[in-house]
Amino acid sequence: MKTFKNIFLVVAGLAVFSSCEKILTFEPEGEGIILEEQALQTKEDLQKLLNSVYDVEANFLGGQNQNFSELLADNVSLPNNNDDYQQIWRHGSNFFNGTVSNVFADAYRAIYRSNVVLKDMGRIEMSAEEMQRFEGEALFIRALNHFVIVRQFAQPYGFNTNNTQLGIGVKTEPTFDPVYRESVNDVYEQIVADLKNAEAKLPENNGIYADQFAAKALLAKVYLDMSDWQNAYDYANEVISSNRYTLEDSLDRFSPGTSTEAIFEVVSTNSVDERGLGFKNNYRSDGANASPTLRASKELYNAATADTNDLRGQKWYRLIGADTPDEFVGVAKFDFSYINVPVLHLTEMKLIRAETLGELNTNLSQGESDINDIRARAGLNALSIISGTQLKDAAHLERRLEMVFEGDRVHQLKRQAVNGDVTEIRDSPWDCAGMVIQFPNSEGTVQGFIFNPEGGCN
Amino acid sequence: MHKNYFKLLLIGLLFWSSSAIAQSISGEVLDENGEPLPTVAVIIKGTSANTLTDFNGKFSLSGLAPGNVKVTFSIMGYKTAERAVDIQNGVNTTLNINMKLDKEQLEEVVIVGYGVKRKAEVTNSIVTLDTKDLTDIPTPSFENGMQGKASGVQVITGSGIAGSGSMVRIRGVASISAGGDPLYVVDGVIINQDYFSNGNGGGFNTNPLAAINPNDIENVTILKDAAATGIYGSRGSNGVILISTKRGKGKGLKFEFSTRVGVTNPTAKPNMLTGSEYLRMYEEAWVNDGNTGTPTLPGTNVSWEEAQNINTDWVDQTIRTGFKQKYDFGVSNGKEKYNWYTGVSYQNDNSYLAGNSYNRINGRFNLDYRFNEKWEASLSTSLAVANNNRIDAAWSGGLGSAMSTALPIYPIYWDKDTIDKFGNPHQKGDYWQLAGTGNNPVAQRELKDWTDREIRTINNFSVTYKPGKNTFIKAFGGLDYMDFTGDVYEKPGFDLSNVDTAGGQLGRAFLSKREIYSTNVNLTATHLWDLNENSHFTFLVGTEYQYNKVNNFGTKSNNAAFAPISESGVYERNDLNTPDQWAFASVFGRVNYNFKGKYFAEALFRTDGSSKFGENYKYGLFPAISAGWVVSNEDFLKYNPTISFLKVKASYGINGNSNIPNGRTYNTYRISNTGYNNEPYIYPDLRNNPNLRWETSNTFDIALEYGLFGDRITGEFAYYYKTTNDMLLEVTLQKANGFDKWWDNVGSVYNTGLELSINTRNLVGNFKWETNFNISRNYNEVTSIGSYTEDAVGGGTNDTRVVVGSPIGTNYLVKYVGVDPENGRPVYLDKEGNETYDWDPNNRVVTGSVLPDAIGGITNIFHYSNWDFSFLFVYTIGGNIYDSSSKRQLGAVSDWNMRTDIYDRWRQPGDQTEYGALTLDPENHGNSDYWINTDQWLHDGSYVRLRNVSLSYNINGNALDKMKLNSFRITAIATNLLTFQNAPVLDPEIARDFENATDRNMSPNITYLTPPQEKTFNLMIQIGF
Repeated sequence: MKTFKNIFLVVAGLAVFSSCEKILTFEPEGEGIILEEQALQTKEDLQKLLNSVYDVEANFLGGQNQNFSELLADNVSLPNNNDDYQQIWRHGSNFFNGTVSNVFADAYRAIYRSNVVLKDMGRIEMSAEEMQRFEGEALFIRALNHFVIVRQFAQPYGFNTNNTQLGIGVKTEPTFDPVYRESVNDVYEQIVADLKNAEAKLPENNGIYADQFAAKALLAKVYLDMSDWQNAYDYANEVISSNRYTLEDSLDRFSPGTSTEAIFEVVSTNSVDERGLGFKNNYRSDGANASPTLRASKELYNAATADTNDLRGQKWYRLIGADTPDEFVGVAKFDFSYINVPVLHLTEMKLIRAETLGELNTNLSQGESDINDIRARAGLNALSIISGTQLKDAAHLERRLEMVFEGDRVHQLKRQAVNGDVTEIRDSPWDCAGMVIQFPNSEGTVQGFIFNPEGGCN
Repeated sequence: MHKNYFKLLLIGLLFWSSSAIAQSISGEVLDENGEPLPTVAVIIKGTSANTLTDFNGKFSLSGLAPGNVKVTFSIMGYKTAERAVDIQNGVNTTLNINMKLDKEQLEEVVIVGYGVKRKAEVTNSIVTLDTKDLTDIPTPSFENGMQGKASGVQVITGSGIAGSGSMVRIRGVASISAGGDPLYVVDGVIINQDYFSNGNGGGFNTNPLAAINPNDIENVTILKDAAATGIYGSRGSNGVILISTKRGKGKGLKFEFSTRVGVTNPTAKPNMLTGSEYLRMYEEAWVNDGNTGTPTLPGTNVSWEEAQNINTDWVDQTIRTGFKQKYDFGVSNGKEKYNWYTGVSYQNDNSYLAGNSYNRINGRFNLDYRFNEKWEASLSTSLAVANNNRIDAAWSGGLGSAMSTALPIYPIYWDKDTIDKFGNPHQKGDYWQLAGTGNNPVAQRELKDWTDREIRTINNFSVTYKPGKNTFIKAFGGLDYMDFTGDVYEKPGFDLSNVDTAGGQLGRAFLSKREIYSTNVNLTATHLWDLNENSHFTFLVGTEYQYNKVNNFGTKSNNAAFAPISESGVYERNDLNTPDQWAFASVFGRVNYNFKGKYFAEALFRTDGSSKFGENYKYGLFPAISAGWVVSNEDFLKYNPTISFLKVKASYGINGNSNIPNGRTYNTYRISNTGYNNEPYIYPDLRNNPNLRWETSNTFDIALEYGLFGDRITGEFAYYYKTTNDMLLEVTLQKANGFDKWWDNVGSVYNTGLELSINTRNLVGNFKWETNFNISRNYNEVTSIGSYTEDAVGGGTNDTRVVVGSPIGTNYLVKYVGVDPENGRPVYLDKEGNETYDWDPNNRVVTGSVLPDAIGGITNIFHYSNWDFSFLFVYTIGGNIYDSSSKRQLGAVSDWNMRTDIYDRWRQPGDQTEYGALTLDPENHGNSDYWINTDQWLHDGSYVRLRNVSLSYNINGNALDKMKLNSFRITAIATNLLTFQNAPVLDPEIARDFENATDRNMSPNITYLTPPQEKTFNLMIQIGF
């Protein structure tokens, strides 16, 4: 009798058990949380995911990242009151640098989300043009981020003959496999392939988001970095000849509101949704900002004010505490309540066209007019350019003075060094180990990841 | 009657002639059936005369003086007997007695998982502590009382902050990211024990056990090995602690009242520099760096001239003598049909930190009712209402600021009406806050009202049906409900930047709310079956369902010029709720076999299904077997005079750990409505692992229980070996993957150790002396972390790592050699072992050990007539402590105050000193970063602490009867009176705040501005009537 009772109990228990599935399943719930199965069903959903890509991208390109490139070169002096920046300026970044880690994470977060868009767009119902647009935008962002990161964390293109030096991890799938560094050659191949693919798929017009000409402009920039003069010229020329963009009359590319010369820019809608904080908070030296973190170097100031007519020298710098021990050169280029950040702009395209024509030593007059357009805007007289070398040198100079603080300087110096025009960057060898930024500590969580060597610059 | 007297007299006369001046008593001791009883202890009370009966039950005591004496006879398993003898001059007395079995002792039961077992039959590793062990150390939270009393159980008492909890580790650490604390079960209710329900705000983790009143506890059983914990399946791998509350057994109506009052102070006070000392050090550093002229102080909050006259002792401002009081009143009644217990208690603990106190009211009612022979029911209900008046501590402020950035040259108040350098006006007596409110601990404390309120109720109800004499069917339901409110009000002036449009100061109020429900229900059937007179079986089958839900309402805040939110009723409950729930469903069974009362065996299994794990791994099977042999019941040992009890037991079992956050097997997205360019967006949030499963531990355990010389010496010696695989790890992913962290099962660790306990009754006469000693050693080693590297396991602050071949949480530091006597610079070692002045994180090596070599305690108890005196030493041998804040307190001179130890600094070539030349530039110490970790701050963590001393007096006899009381006891108790330590830290016993479970497992030996333990003096009065 009793054993029967026991057996009955066990059976009852097991019966309860088999209906357990329901009582053992709790889906996460709460404000603003949805399961993946429900998240991506329509093309509106996919657009929202793409919006999140731009959201991260806007933070990534909001200034901190560009500042790294400036810190490595000769445009800025020792930063004030920022240990992480000082470490980079001294060419001694180590893998504990928190600012680097956050910026690096943002780049790859955008890449991850782009890869999700690319993977999932196939199963969502939409027209062929729409799908092409999604694909183009995702590829563009992916390529752009890989490009920005490889230039900062690896030795430049041309460092050795076949570019076998280690580059960065390339992510083309949204998976969590261990990430190892590809060679710089392979990274650039992927970037160019992605951009050409994006160029074919992006529409000509896409509001403030990436469009076909953004892809072309970026290709020009990438080819310039690869010292591929012909290709760089072709793409820069295409962008300029489209006549979609005009130079800003004032020098204020970085200011509230869209710029006429911006091909692809990061937009701040107002002072509440500001995206250019990396520039504004670090450079601004007016009014209550008595003690900015980033200041121009004296050598740059002298170069910018060498020609007293140069409006850029007058408008973008302010010498503070002249002839006192506390003297420094503040920067006024970002003195606005909020700014847009033009990532690709007409001025750069013109500079690329001029420089590549100089290198190719053809059509010098077109290059000359590009240079003089820029000079005229800056209040300077026109130059008469008669040789390719002169055109190239003029382009180098104007590029430094125009695109100052935009995160361009160190990469230009490195490219010029690859071509033999330059050997040192701020008194350090251009190819010393510390001239690239060290990967964050988190990258070493899988065995076999190779960090950059450090030091060698002082 | 007369026959016996005559016999005695005759024998006495007969023996008289053979003994000269000394008299003797001799005789025979028999059991109930007339069989002789050997090894019975025969003692004459009040003298040192004692002996043991021989194989024939005979004894003889000689050399006795005439007079009235009492002779006692005692042996395990029998009721102690006492006889009065009048020794006549020249007469030798004969004394024969029959001793009666002590059924209670023989059937002494021990509480095990889902039932009880006779102590003799236990084959697993279990320690039982009773109410006295837990209440003799005055602590608000009961688990503190376990320290030093159970081998293999390491208890690190919480810091001196009121209401803080201990960290308990049973047989080492076997988890990295999953919780490492044991499972707590109160009267069968598996209670909620989330230490991170409130994060670590203010440098403090909420203690989920704080609501349990130690006075309500009857006993605590600690289950240590897999066979004992196996019945708890996927939750038992860190050990299980079973708590049983008082039920009112024993006959008649009884009342108990007790009160305890005491004072508390810190065990040690930090020695920080005074104002002028700080300025002197600062100036020396200024000059060393080649500067001239008047030094500029950091932050330019105070000028050099102003600082000359200011000297604030912030440590004094944040410390006081605290006053503690506790009152308990309990009533119980036991009758044949029922027994019940009810108790109420009030406690108010003011800690030694100014402004900090914890008060709690508890009420409990327990009832067991026996309807008839077949039906029985049981009810327990308890309610605790607690208020914790919080202050900032450690890294958050208060005493922590006093040890760090609250410089002695900052005044507390403005001493006259002024306008400061920013143009803001101040009146005389206003708080001085130019360095931030956090650096004025007085302002921070007085301008903030911060109270955590907790309402906790733990209840259970069960019904037992006995269809036959040997079958029990029990249905059980338990509920643990907690309602938590965190109420913070920053008064106007706390945050000077919080102003309204007219420039007037605003306050700010925050209210956070959380509710946690934990319920478990089970149905069990037990059947006792006797195969024949030698073989006895006990069968248990059962099924259980446990469900837990957390409603987290987040924190709401508003800027208020006046009342806190809770008073103005602005709070709406249901918004912001992110509920979190999980459940377990299980089936289990157990068979016990007893052969001739000498050989025991047990087999059990449990199947758990958990909502926390993925589709592929929802259910796990956890079996265990164990066996025991009571060697002392064998014929060859039965009458051995030396060995009175000897038992060998061994067990092997598999159980698991699933203490991780929920929802880790789903992929989720988050929605936001305002993103870039004002467009809505969604993004992938949690990327989860569908193959996630529990950690599995395999434990082998073998132990020897012994009793020697009539149980004058008893104890246990145990060895265990435990391997844990598939450790749950929150892995830090490479950022290139686009995500920060991910849960995975990776790696394995093993723990092995020895435990020894020796309890001796040294003196058993009128003056009793008993010693209880235990020591245990645990060795822990990580054997694999899959394909990840050491940096993959985040959560260990201050450079602790999981390194293969070392224990969990090994320190990973750059090696420090010393100060170079030539130039006063600190010298480090690089990876190759060469000396260098530079500090580079690449040169970090595994160094030191997180876990001690051995821990334990020794208690001595003395008893003489109405007096009891006892003291407990707890000790830790080996292991290291990392004093993380000392790298700023004794490093480069900066905006941190420094310890007076800094006087031993380098000043001229040839100086051999502890600390380098003073400098303002950390580059001179090897790196521009102030926060560099080296083993200069790693110290030997061994210590011995006099944990408590207590002296009590029991009033007995006529005085007691006159007052119509059953018992009256006064006790004086002092805790943490003396500490002998090697490390130059405030307190070598560190239980600090942690950010999450990984941190708690990996960084227990790091102290960072952690408040020391408290030293208390108390007086306790216990009355029973």
